[in-house]
Formats: sequence, C-alpha cells, structure tokens
Amino acid sequence: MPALRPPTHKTIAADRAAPQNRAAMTLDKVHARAVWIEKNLLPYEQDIRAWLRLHRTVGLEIDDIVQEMYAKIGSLDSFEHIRDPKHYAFQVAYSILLNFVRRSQIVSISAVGDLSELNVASLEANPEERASLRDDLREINNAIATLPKRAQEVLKLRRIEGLSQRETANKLSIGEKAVEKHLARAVTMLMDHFGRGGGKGTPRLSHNSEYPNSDDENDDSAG
Amino acid sequence: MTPQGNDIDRQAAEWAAKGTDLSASAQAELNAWLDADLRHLGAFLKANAILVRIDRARQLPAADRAPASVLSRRRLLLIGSIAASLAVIAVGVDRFWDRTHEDVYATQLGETKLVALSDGSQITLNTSSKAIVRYTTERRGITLVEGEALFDVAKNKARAFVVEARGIEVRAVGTSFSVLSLPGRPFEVQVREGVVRIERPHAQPFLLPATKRATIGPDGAVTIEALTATTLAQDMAWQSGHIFLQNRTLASAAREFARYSRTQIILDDPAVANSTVTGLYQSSDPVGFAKAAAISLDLNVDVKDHEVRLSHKGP
Repeated sequence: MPALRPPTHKTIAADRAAPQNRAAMTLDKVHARAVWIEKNLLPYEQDIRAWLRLHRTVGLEIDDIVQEMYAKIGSLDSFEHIRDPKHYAFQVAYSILLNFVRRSQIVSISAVGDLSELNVASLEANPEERASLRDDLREINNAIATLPKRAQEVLKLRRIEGLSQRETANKLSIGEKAVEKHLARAVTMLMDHFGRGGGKGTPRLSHNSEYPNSDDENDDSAG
Repeated sequence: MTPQGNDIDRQAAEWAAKGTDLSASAQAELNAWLDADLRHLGAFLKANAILVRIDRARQLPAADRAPASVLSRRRLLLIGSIAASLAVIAVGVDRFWDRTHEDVYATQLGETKLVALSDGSQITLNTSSKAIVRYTTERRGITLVEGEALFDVAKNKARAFVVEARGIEVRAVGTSFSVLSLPGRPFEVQVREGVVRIERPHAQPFLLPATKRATIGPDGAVTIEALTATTLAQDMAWQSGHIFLQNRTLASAAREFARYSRTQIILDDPAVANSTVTGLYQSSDPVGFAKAAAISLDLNVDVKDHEVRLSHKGP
C-alpha cells in the first residue's frame, strides 16, 4: 500500500505549468472567449462549487478546480461542440477532481464516485432558468451598487463612458495607477460575488472584510 | 475562500483591469504569469468574463434601473440656475446605471425638459418630444423619435455625436444645434455654434455651419437660410417657455400653441385666421395670447374649457 503523501504545492504547480494552453490565447482572443464564458459558464459556477463542496477532499481547494475548469474550457480551440455548457463544465470539473485524486493517492477513486453520481441530467438548466440567471441585469446592477463608491465611479467612466485610463484619472483627479487599482478591485469583488455567492438573490459580498471601509481614499494618491 | 485562490483572482483582476492595450514588456510579463500556472489563465478568463458582464448591464432599460441616488452638488447648482425658466427639469442622476446604454426621455404636452448626458452634453426637449439616447464607446447616438430638441454637444472628436430622425443623420463634434421633426412639417436643423454634417439616404451629405438653418422637405429638397442672432434667439424662445411670433398668421400661431397646450385656439373666419401678429408669448398660455391678439386686432374672445374662440365682433 502506497504511503499517504499529500502532494506539495510545488508538484501541483509543475503540473499546471501549461504554456501550450496559453499559446493559442492572444489577448484579442480573450474577449471573444470571455463573452462565451460570461454567458455559458459563469452562471453555473455557484452550482459547480456547491457540488464540489460535497466531494471535498484533503489538499484540494475548490478555487483551484474552478480556475482550472475555466482555463481548460476557455483554452479550447472552439466552443461549437459544447451543446450543454453546464453539463460540460461539470464533466471538466469532475475530471480535474479525479486527476487530483489519482495523483495524490490519498483516497481511492471510488470515494469520489463516478460521473453517473453527478446525475448531470437533473443539473441541466431549463431554458427559463438559464434566461433568468443570465438576463437578470438588475442583479448585475445591484451587485455593482454594493461596490465602493470610487470603484463604481471608475467602472462608470472606464466601462460605460469609454474614457481612457488617463481621462478617467483626470476626471476623478486621481492617479492612473489608482484608476487601475479601483477597477481591479471592482473586478475582484464581482468575481467573488458572481462565482461564489449572492449571484442569485440578495447581493452579498462575502469577503467585504478584505476591503475595510471600502472607499479607501488613500489609494487615490496620484501614482 | 482560500487565500490562495483569492490571490490568483486578485492578480487576474489586476491584469484584466490593465486592458488589452499593453506595452511590449507588460505583455511579456502577462504571458509569463499566464504560463506559470494553469489556474492563472482560468482566473484571467473569468476576470474578463466579469468585465463582459459589467458591459452587458448597460442594456438594462431605464425603467428597470435602481432608483436615482442623490444629485451631486454641482448638478443642484446647475438646476438652481435654470429652474426658474423651465417648466420641468429632468436631470440624469449620478448613479452610472441611470444614464447608460439606452435611455428614453420624453416630454408631455407643454413640458420642456433639460437632460444632462453622461459626457457633459445636454439635450433640451421641447413640448411633446421624445428622444432615445444610446451611448457607446465610439458613438453618442440620439434618436429624436418626434418633436424638437436643442443639443449642446460636449467636444469629443473620438466619439461622434449623431442625432437621427426620419432617416436623416445630423453629425456633430462639439457644437450646439436644434432639430425639429414634426409630422406635417419640414425637417429642420438650426446650428447655433460649430458645424454639423447632415446625412440622408441616397443623397450627398452636406455641412451646415453656425447661424444657418436647413429645411428638408418631404421631397428631400433642401433649403438653407442664414439666421441672424436675433432670429436664432427668437427660435430658441421655447427654451424659456415662450413662443416668438413675427408677422405670423393667427392660423399658424394657433398651430404653434397646439404643440404646447390642450387648449385649442379656434378661428372660424378665414379673415381672422389670416390676420397677422407679432410678439413674445408664454407657450403655456394660449388664452392669454388669444386675449392679447383680440385686443390688438379688435376681435371677440370666447373662452371655454379646452378651447378659446376668436371671431369678428358682432354687428
């Protein structure tokens, strides 16, 4: 019987170094892929996380699986063959979990169960559910309304009015670095919001404590 | 949430926030970061998906958007300075949500509305008018569905300001112009400052400079006339709630007042209808106008609910 040896982070990182995945990913392709992901994967991230929590295993973080899932699907040559993105996303997440279990030799594969246990058929979103998840624009509005005030202002100028970083900085009388920082903060908080919770109901940013008092005007020094 | 996963998400968000226009060294740095770990690519794609989602929310119809937040002090001052002369004012609110992808602004009969747009431009809508505002990063698009509006355009060469009505496009960079599009009347564009370009289907576009008025008939015939500062000011009288009439027949004055009020001015006798008047009148007060006209033209006035009748004095 092999020794129970949790994998070190180093070995996992080595497995994940995958330049061939990025090679096909020039920046101009990122947007088109992001559009598809926003529509077809992001709505199901919470369901996938919920399922993964039931199969939690030592040494494996759900965040890791989810990020790998996005990377693997997002770097496919084409999405055309994906008829049911939710089903597909679960399969990919499952295979990542399975690979980890095989590598780590911690638990037997049977402990995870096979794909049939996923009962993916029941997971398929009906058209109404899909529409409501994706098209609840009000939910996006609500989520953005919970962001720090500065982050909202930056989002407005950069994304809605299409100002450049410099123009945004001038308009808000802050530095360009601060503009970038506020936008990054908004994206981080919304990644959390839409991926981990709150995406289907009352807006809830579960990790607000990382951004004490949110506004953080100290960031606004010219930079 | 694990600190690890969150760290990667945060780094990914920082890269996504930098946009796609990266310097060569930043591009190399991003590639190195993406190559270092498969999870980086996943988080980076998700961060970009979040940006897509933010952009998508611009589609939210105005009616569904969150209630307006408090107006900024600057806007309050602006309102204070104009409020006295305008019947009703609608000002875009500060929450960016409320002035984004497609906003519809309309005025009721007799109402005038000032709309402050997100880029600093303004629309002043005259009575019974409706405009749809669609702003994108490349284009500031306005559709004048009906009525009359004055556009004060903030300068931005990279983002054309285009007013469309009846298939005619009026294109401006930084200028002030008005467009009138009413059923049964020729299409009119007046330029107060700067220059606009007018584009029509199947016709050569043309430039219309300041202090000129272009009238486009239903047959497409274009008439251009020069406007003096005085006539321009008079034509813009509606902005302060007035109608300016110069040697206008009572019939045409009655039509003009009908744009602003439910109270109709009735002229039974063609001789009365063809009498002319000159003066500056309150657009909301057709009865006051009728009384003034009756005094100067020696006519009878008969005021009823929703109508005022002008006729020759009886024998």
